[in-house]
Amino acid sequence: MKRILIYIMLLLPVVASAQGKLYERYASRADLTVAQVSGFRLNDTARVDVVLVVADDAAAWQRLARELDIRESEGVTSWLGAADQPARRARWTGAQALRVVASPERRSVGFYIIENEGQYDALLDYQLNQTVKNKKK
Amino acid sequence: MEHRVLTDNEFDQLWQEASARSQGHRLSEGYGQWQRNRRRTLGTLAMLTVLAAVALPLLTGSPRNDVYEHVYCNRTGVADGQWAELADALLMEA
Repeated sequence: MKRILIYIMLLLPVVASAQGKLYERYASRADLTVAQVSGFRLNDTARVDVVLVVADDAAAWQRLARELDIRESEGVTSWLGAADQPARRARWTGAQALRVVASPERRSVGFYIIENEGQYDALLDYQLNQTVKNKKK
Repeated sequence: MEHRVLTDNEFDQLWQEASARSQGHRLSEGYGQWQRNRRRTLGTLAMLTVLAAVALPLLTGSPRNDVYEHVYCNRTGVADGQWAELADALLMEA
């Protein structure tokens, strides 16, 4: 009983957020492993919530890729998605959105939930800095 | 003006009363000092407790919290840190 209460308490904030909705969308599927990372650090002042979905096998990835309109030939792709429709490519409008990154090689998709302009800028800076670091190696 | 000469008994009695009053004064002074010391000690202890409560998490904060605050997964067997690494790797590759 105590354990059930603890699970309910842990899930309450999950259910209430966009992160929770995304998590719920995929967590019940047997062919996917889903994790939500709260407060992923981008810089000293900005953090984002992230939902990561990993397909367990090639068939599961095919299904996931089809749902999200991911083209295998493009390799790692990223786009801005609508919070309620991750597959739909959208523009940043100041409202809640997603930075979706899909990697066929890792059979993984990351949904980075953007709730304000600070997070949006920090996410772009993070990607830019990481890419520069990567090129320097 | 006439001065009455105290008898030995009267003088002894007065002497004892004076001694008792002096002792009582000293006792109350000592008690006041003890109370002040106790307040000072308790104040210092309270201040140290507050300082420790604030400083210890800052000094010993786990590196995990530098990267993420909390991870929840629908399966067991994958370390929380690996999810944070995946979140980082995907951004790096994009």
